[in-house]
Amino acid sequence: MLDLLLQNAHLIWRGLSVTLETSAWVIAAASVSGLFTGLALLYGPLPLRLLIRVYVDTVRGIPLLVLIFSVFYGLPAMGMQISAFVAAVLALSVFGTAHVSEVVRGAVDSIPDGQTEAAKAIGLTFYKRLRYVIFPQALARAIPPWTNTAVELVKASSLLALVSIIDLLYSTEQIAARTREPLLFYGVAAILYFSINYSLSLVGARVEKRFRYSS
Amino acid sequence: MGLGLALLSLAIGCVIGILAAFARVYGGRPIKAVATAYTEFVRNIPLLLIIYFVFYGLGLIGLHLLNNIWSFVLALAIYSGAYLSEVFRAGMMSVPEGLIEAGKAIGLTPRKTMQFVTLPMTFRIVLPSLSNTFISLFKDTSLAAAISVPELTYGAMVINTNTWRILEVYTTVAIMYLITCYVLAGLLRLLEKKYAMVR
Amino acid sequence: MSDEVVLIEKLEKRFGELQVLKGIDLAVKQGDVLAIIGPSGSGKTTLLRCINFLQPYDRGRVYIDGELIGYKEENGRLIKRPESTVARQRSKVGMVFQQFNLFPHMTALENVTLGLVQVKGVARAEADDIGRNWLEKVGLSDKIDSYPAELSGGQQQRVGIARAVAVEPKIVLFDEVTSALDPELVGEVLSVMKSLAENYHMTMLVVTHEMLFAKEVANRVVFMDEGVVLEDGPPAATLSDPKTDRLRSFLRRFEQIL
Repeated sequence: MLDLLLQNAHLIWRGLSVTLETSAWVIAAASVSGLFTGLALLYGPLPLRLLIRVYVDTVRGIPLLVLIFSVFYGLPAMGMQISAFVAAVLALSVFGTAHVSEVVRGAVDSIPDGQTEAAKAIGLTFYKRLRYVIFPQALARAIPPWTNTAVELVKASSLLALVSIIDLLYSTEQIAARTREPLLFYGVAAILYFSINYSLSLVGARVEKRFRYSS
Repeated sequence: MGLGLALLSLAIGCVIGILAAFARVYGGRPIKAVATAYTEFVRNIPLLLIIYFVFYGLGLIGLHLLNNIWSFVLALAIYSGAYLSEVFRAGMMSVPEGLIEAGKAIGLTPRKTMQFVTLPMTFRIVLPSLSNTFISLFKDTSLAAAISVPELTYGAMVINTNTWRILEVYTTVAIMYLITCYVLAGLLRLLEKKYAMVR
Repeated sequence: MSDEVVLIEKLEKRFGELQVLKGIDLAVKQGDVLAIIGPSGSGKTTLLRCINFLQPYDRGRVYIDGELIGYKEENGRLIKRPESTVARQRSKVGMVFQQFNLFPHMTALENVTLGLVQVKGVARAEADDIGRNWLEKVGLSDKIDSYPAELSGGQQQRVGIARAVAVEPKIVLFDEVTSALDPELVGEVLSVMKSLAENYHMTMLVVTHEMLFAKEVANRVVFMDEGVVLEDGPPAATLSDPKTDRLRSFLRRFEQIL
């Protein structure tokens, strides 16, 4: 059994690196755009806020698989030619942005109103209030849900196997079918996914502890 | 069809979840470790992986009785059980100490305290999280399409290959999911209004 | 006119259906310590929050040091001022809150110096000196680097006072600042406030239920009920010989103390 594993290790590794790379890009993209979208949701003009609200609720209200299929098959049908990888990152980023913007909004909303009032009372302008009072506090509050979202995105990358992107799950499927040892290889894949996500959570918890300042 | 699948998986998942939550809150060290391992492991791996594991894996070790639908139900139940155990565990731990003490004070046995105080309170506390999880699970039923279980997304895939009208098909499917989710959410909110605790 | 630090004319404020302030007229001179008393719901807190424009007011005028707060007057109509202008206006008014509202991610010193550095543009080193000075004056020189979570309620409130006065505002507003404190901690805060009044001659508007403070430290007592000022006079006269029935019945519950 071990030699079967070793024989296929390079294929597993190839799939794993695709999963890692895709996840990394998606998490980065979703975090950045989610931050801006979240800010717009909190402080933007009313029409913008409504638009984003609709976007977030829609994306979170449909299954990710449907979203992925729509991007993957829908865009080319509309005449856009993009590579599978780009389409994948796009679909997952749209999903991730919606989630991160909720994380941002939730974190800022959870700060007691008294903080904004005290900041106003000493004469801080809007930007200074955000920079010195609100954001530092929001950051600590945002890290746990952000870490959850990152984990969800890594798991979501496995759905790309359904559109034939050769990620960890796809590779595992192929190997398992060929060698007829599904339990072994799916088991290995499970351990790999678990390791990635668990480490992510641990790092998140460590970082959160650093930013925490009160009970 | 997707709704039925979700309901069934959720039901089984609830049972698993409550058992696991119990194990983690009240169990002895070995059983607590097993339950925690299950919860932590399953929550960190993709649902699709679990589906394949169940579908292909179990088929191999002789459980050929499981066809597509039942594999999916089992997989989703295992997956949701892990998430639900977290929900129930949090709920159980946030039942106020004072209430349990009051139960003891009027002479209830541990079993009866569990039956009349802890469990009813847990149910009311977790209702909002439970609703959210249920809606998530409903969306996850779309993954059943991966192993060709007849449900909404699979139906879309089939229609697609027959008509190639991709964008319209998926948009319609998306809208159908959305509407179902909103309706579900609305119904669940009514249930919450009746039972949930404002903490 | 210019020796009034705060001038309030016919101030009105409503929340939805409810008219909370029904026309307040009030003038505060430099060095005045006003104790604002009255039953809950009388609009005392709303009045304070209109003065530093935490709440925009609907009608009437609020002037701090001769400047109209929150609005520009054009042809008798009030036009809202931009946020940055309002922020600058607010720096002339200090506020101490019932719930303290200290910034939990900053030490006591940082809480106090934030306004100095970011609003008044004071250099860091000088700001730290001023901050340390004020923290010492409120009796917290050993807590300069402590975080709010490490401080008792009374200590937190004293930091709140230091934070409000360090930027040298024209007037300091106190919104029931001892109501959220355990009884044994109330004294330390009141004595800091007394010291501010007597040693630093600060102009103070104090919404409070502490009648002894009103009697001993304030030079004016203002009684509010249902959105209007019913009585306004020196403490000795107003508290022992109320002119209106409403004040008389309000004071009855404080008989023991007075």
